[in-house]
Amino acid sequence: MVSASVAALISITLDVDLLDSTVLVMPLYILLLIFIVPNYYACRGLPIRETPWLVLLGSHLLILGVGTGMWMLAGEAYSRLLDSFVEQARWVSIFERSLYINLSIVIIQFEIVALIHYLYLALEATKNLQQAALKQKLLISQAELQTLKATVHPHFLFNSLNTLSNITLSTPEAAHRFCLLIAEFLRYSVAYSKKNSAALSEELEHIQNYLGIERERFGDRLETSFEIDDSLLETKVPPLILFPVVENAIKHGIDSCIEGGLLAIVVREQEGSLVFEVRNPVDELGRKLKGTGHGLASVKQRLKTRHGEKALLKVERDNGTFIAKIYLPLSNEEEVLPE
Amino acid sequence: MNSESETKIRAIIVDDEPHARQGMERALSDFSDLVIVGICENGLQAVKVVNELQPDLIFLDIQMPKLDGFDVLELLGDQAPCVVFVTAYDEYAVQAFEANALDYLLKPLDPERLNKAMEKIRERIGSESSPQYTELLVGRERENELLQRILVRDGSDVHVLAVNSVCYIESADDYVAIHTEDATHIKLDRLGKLQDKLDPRQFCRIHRLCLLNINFLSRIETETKDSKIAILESGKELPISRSGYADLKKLL
Repeated sequence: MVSASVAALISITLDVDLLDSTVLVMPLYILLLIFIVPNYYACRGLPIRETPWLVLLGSHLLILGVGTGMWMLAGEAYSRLLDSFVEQARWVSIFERSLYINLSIVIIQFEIVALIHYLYLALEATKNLQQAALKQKLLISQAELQTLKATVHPHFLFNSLNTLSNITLSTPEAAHRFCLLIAEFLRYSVAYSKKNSAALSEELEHIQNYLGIERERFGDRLETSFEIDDSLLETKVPPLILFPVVENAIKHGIDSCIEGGLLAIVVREQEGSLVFEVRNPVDELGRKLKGTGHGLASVKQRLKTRHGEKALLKVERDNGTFIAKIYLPLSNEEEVLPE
Repeated sequence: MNSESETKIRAIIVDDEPHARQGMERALSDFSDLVIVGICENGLQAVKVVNELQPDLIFLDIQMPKLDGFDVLELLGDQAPCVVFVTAYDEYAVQAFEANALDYLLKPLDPERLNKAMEKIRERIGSESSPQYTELLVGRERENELLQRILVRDGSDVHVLAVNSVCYIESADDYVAIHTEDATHIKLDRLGKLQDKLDPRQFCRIHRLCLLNINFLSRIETETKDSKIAILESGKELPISRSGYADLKKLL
């Protein structure tokens, strides 16, 4: 299209035969398409926002100069070639006389193509950005859902409901207290996903609520002990990162032992880390519950995404005792990175 | 109806949660033709109490520590009385109960459901036909992978043996003798059936009548050119058959 109109333009302004100008111009403009290609790579290589404008201008002028120069040489060679086939030489003169028209059109085309490339790249970048943002959002909500599912386990709800149904008939006051515990527990579990971090004291209260519920269910089989370094109570921790370890201790530890046992929680500082330790008896020959270790695996995953190598979940088995320790970095930064 | 009220149904309750035990006891107190003769906190007690009191009926919780409801049933074997299973959420169990037309109750207890179950129980105990629990257990075994422990009952006592602590198992008619380092336990089972559930890389049938845990094997001695003997770490000697020797060599 461009070449056809250029051919017409030349034939009118220079008063030459339309066929002659078309024969000259058509292949040259197809050739131009090839010379323009490097433009695309130049645009990719020189992002418009990040390149200093002098460099940007210089490089584009250089590409333009080399491109048009080469194109001019090709045009000269082509018109000579055409002239050598016929007796009445005319193309070289047409090419030379039309050079100013051709040059300006070629330059304009070069720059339009560059502009289009930049526009295209900008569009692509925004699209990629949007996609990445969406993907990130999806990942976050998936992680949240998983944690929530692990937090409010259906078995836990069933068990609590059964306990509740039994105490409503025997001791209504106890049933009321039990409802309060469950309400507090659920409120915290549901609200946590909106928070980026929680104070250790809040997390411990949540754990206390949970243990209060389970104590009602287990009766004498569950004993608990706490040994907390009070200076750490205001430390910010990822919400609900400690809870799954306690839940695991109940589900796979205390509940595996006929006589139950002591669930001991210790929070202390050690070499710049907050250490959360849970110790409980486990019966290796007890009935194996399905899904063992899933909750702990997700804690590990969360710790890794959030703190990388600085946080850790360590698990030990020692002759009927199960010990799980979470190490969280104690930093001065107030803000904890989002997961 | 009148004759039934004269001989009351003797029942026991098995549940690991104190509130659940009380709740069941309270719910059952409404039935004048039923008397609760025992309340158990776990499977071990349940086996003991059934053995000692021979009740007509057990209300058996499924989810319990160490021994769950199915384990109790397995250990009781033919001695198991009429059972009503009690469960809160075990999906597999509920399906199995329905498939085998067994009585089960869901927690929390629905008084109406309990009434219906009691009607069925009166009929069943009146007719003296004992329900078949074996299919229920077979189905469950298929679901489990390799056996990690072997349950053995000796009268009222239950032993849970870790598979790794078993040296060898001998077959004797309908029984198997399970030898650990410090004791021998008798269990009503077939050696072949047991072998199928054990890790074939750990247990080798060295003889038609003997299954050996190769971790306890010390050495093999040739007595005559055709008879070989396995010497265990304890010094115990076990004969090896020809095909048993071939299997053992493959394994080692």
